[in-house]
Amino acid sequence: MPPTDTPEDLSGPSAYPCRPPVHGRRPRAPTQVSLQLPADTIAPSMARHQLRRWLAAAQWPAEDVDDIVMAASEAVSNSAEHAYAGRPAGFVDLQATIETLSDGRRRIICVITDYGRWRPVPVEHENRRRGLPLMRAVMETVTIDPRSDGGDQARYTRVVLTSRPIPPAGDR
Amino acid sequence: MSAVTRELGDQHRYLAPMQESDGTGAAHGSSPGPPREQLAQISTSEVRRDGREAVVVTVAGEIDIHTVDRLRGAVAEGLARVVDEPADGLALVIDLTDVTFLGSQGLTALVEATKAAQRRKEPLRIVVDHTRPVIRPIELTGLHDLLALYRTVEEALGVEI
Repeated sequence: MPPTDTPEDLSGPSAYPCRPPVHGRRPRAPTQVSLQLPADTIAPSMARHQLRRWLAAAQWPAEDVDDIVMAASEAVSNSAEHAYAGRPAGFVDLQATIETLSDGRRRIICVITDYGRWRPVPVEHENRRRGLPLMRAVMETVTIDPRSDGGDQARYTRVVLTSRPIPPAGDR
Repeated sequence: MSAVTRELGDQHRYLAPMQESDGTGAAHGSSPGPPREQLAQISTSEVRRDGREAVVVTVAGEIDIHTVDRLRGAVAEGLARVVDEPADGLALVIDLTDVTFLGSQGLTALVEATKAAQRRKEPLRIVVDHTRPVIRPIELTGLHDLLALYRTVEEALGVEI
């Protein structure tokens, strides 16, 4: 009888020799995801949802996913809360990329950008006091880039998160 | 309005729906995320375990800037209930066993709740089953010393298992 197409028939040395293993033909996850989110309170949950889906497709380790999702959620939350206060709500852009280092280890670079003007938020403000340390505790680096051109020129705020590297693909 | 996905080689772009012209900035139902109403489920009940009674605020789902006000409301309601009862009667318990996300807003709400309970001399007991989503932010921000943490509602009520 000819070999069937069911994966169950492809195990062990009796597998049809020229047939590629079905388990190897997994669709490759995209290396970058871009989101444009409304700057309101629903935005962090949208960001978390999309990031989890993307990182699951990339087979990212679960604990590292939690850390990236936590940090990105805080950054998006800050933008949603502070960027457009008193003005028509704008957008928060989130772009996340899988970067491969020279030694093969991989990490996520996540950039969260808003185009508003952050109200001066006192450091004593409860959420800021916990949100930023939380981000720094779960990420390798956190860079916040406020650009103030002065006058009435539009400002933007950009938060760049880099995650802790994970082992090279196939190193598990 | 549905979300649009456009493939750009290795990139996927998800476009959230544009703002409605009424300027409310509210995301609408077809946005690519969990439905807002299902983000968190919060309920309050009175329970009795072996003669110990408590008001238990049960929280499931995600506590973030969008849902934290509901948690605050439930805690305030719970505090009002225990204060009305005899001093050795009800305890207040927040059960976070089924919480899947806890961010800085949720941490702040738990700290505020703990302090409000202390002012009323009612201990606030918080149940976490030590799954990562909830215990990690609590430990990273050093709040595991301030918050009264228990592994189960039974443990919070001081009941022998």
